[in-house]
Amino acid sequence: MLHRLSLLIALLLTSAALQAKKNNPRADLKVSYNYHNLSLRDDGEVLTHDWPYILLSNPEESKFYCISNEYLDSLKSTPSGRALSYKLMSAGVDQCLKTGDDSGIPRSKGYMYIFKSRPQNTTTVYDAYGLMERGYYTEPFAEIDWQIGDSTKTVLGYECISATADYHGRHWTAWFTTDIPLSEGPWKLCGLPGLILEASEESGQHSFTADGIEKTDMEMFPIYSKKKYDKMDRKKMLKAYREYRNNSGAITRQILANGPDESKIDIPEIKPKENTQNFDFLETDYH
Amino acid sequence: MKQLILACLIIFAALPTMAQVSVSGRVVEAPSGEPITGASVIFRNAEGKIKKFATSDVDGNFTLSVPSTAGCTLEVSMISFAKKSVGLDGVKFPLTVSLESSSFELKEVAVKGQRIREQGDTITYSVGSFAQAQDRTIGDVLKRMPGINVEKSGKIQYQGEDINKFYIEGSDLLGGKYGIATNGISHDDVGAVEVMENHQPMQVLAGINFSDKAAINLKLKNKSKATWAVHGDAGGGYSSQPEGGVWDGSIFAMAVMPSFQNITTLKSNNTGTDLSTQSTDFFSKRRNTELSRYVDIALPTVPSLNAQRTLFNRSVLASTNTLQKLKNGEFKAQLDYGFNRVTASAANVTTYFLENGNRVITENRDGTERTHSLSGKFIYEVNKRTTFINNTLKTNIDWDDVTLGMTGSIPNTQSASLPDYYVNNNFKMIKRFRQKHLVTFQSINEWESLPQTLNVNLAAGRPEQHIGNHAFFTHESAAYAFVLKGVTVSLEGGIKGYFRSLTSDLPELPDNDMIPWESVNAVNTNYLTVYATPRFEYWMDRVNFSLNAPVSFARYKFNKAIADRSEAYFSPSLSMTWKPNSRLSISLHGSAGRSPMDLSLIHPGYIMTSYRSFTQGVDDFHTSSSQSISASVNYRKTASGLFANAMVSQRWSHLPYTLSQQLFGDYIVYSYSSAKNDSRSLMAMGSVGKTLDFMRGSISINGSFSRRESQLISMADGEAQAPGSAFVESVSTGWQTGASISGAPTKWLSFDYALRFSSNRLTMNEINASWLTAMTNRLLINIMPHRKWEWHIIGDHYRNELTADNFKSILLLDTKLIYKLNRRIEFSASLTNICNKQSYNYITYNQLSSFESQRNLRGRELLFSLFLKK
Repeated sequence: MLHRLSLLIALLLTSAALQAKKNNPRADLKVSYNYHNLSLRDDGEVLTHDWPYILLSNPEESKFYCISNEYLDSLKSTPSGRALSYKLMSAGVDQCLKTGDDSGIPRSKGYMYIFKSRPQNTTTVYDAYGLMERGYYTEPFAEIDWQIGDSTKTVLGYECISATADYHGRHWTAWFTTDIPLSEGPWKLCGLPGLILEASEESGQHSFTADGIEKTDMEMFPIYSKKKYDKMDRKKMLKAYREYRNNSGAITRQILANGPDESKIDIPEIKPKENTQNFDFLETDYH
Repeated sequence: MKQLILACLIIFAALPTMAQVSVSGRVVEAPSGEPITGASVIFRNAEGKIKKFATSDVDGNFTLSVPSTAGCTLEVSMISFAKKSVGLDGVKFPLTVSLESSSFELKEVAVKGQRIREQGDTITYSVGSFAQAQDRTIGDVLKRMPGINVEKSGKIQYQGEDINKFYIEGSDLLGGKYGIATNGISHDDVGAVEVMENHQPMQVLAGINFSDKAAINLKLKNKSKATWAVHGDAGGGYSSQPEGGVWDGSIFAMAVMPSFQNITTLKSNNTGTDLSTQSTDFFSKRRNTELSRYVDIALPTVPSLNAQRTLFNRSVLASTNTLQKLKNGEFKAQLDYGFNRVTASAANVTTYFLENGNRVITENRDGTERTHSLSGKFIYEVNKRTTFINNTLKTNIDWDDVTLGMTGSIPNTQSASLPDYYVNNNFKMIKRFRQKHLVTFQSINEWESLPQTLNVNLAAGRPEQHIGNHAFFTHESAAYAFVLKGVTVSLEGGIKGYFRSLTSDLPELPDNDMIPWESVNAVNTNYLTVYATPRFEYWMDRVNFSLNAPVSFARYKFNKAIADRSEAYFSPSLSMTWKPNSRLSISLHGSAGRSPMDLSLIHPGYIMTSYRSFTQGVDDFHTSSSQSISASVNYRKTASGLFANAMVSQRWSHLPYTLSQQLFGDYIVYSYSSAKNDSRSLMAMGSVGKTLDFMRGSISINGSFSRRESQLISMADGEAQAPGSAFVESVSTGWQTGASISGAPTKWLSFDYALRFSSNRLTMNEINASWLTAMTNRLLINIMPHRKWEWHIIGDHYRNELTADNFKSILLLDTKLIYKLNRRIEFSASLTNICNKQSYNYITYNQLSSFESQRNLRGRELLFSLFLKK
């Protein structure tokens, strides 16, 4: 009797353990990319960003995200984490005020998360579309019509072949290696017979370059606080974000001007400069 | 007509498809035949260009349509399977491609930007990105992190400064005995090492009292938290010198829970690893009881070689440490027991070249030292923003028994029994009121007894020396501090009392008529000190400035040994730190003052310290004075993994007494005489560390220079000669430089290389002796032909200059083979000192004699070990 009982308990425990394992798939591969991008601030200054992103992937699923961003999001998902994130923030601000060095202020490097699922044939994107506003959408797997070229080059010690495609408004050149047979890449880019290690689009505003690659067995955690994200349509979400970005100066001013004690602070308005060089998002087909 | 056009259109539309060949097939797993989903299928033309590609679907099927298959190949690959190429000439479709599973190989390039991160004052090192295959404990990995330096003793420094706390998951379980953790915790259990710069461990002083020290915190991996992490190893084998069996075993258990922590470890070996350093308390301050050992017999050592090569030991270490978080504060208990038995032998052969034939004198020394040490420490601590309370009770019992036999000009056996009993209770409380006011109370009480017995067995007699030596120290103080806009002003006042007694009686000695014996000591050296320390600290933005100006008045009583007296002391110190930005930090420090002499030097009677040496104390009370200035600079650029620091200091000291050495026949007597002894020392050091990301490695380079000038008056027969005539100015100069580099340039190879070069010179009255150099090289190569196998090849090379241009070199080789059955079980076999070099002998000459030193090395040793991990 006791034997049976213990057997039953053991079975229950193993099945529970299996269940727990099933929830978060594990990656085989971890690739770090530098996401280099240019954007226009409302006063007309061109900002250059280099954001570290990570691609976790196994043959079935992948996740493309920024570690520091996920860290902040994971903190904000629990009350004690929120307290810690507030502490980090105030310590960073203190240091900035003391020394002028703002590197300690925790800051998101883009809000983007891309989850790709091969069995479901979908790409799910989580991103910001306004101040404090987050949205997500799921679209069918991007079947990008890649044209394989003749050029080759070496990235991270891997021989890569070029491929080009038009995708959602921009013309992309990707460099992939058949040595790593994963049809994956940074951002939404994928669908080549090997991993994309570098990708850039024509205008030079956006590019991804791999700077590290490792075997891993890291868990691919799902998005934190999914409730915070509104279900959106891709183009509508991009349009809304453009709207916000074009007026972000005015929006921030409005928030700052309304002091906590209902006083009004006068902040001079900055006229946004003309976007002559056509700076835009990764996707431009929403206009 | 319409139909014709339609027909034409159909024909035209069909034309291209007719020329196409459909390449289709199925990807399956060998040998089961299960379909593989997501395999990459590439169609290459005769030139190897990719023309088409596809991915296998849920059933493993794929289809490509191509113009022709002549000379073309199909390449099918999938992660964790071996790639397969199929020539398509004469192949019938659909084709079945079966892939065989193989391990997933990757040319890894460490994911960057993660090895070292920076968040405010906290630097986070990712352990996985610094660990090499040959590393076992977290201590092995700490050595590779730029900015962090682990000294030979195990003491950790960050940017050239000793750390002030060592935490595990934010809790201070071990205090200064962090060697237990660094030599025990598997690096595989640690996710990250955090360095907290300018760490103030007492929260109540945060933002008020500046700290220039850093603390280290180990962040464990989730799998190692809230469970017992246990690992152990057991090894046995055979050694050719000392001849016989050898063992090396350990067990380590650690629990890190939210409100409870425990580390328990048991280790034992006779393979040359001195375990006593692993439980050394690196934060312990000098004992205020200030007792010293007069008996001075020590085993012979082998200079300039690694202790592991020369130590003949049997060592045991047992330690258990517990931390329990309570509703308010936490309680900690630490118990340690250590046993060390060391044997050593040495022979010196001196040959005198005389006209009537050579005369050879051999002196052999053979000794055994047994040390037991038992210590317990109990701490209660509350560490909050408004309150700090700490009570620490510490007890230490040591037994040290040494026997040393000697043959030669005075054949003898000496044995000493040197037990030590010590108890210390330290209570400290700090309260913070209304943000701005701080009140501190502290009470320290210490007691120590250090009885010493020396037995000498000479042909002519058996003298025995007993020394009774105990002391009690008490210190009570109170302080008040006021904080306003970055300025802290505080005043501490207190009283210190010290009571010490020394009794000794010199035994009857053979041929004692030569020495003017004063044979009995019954001395009390007591004092009572009242003091006040005003302190001023300014801390704003990037600058910290602090000034300490302690004033004290002391009354000394020496029951008749020498006259009682009173002294006043003033020893101000000033320090300044400037951080122009988060990368750079510059500090200056200066101090000056007078201090009392070492009271243990006060004893008018002679004390026998070894079979042929005696010491006599000073005959008057003296004070010494000293001044020092130092400057240091630190720089770090975390993003590129660069850490650098440099320090320079100058110190002047003035002692009104000096040590003199007199010979009475075969006896040597050390005593102190009133004579000016001024010295000046300069020290400079620096180090640079950098990550080498291309091979997941790191490099560090360090160097130091020191120069010490001292002036003293030479003494003969206890009488000072006329000033000037025996004025000795000695200058010792030395510099050393070292480098270490480690990395894993390929998947199957990793290495560690360290080089150290040093050079020293002594100059007396402007007569230069020659520079003597010493060089040490150590290389470890780890070859991993397969993930389950590791093969270590280790070479140790020493090149020591004995006299000018006379070098002694020795190369020692080791190897080790490791088989990892899985994550939990490992087997290893190691062979140390392959060439079985059993002695380190050298000869130096002068015109009339030669001197040969013979020392033993640990011989060839074969050890089989089993490692298990929970």
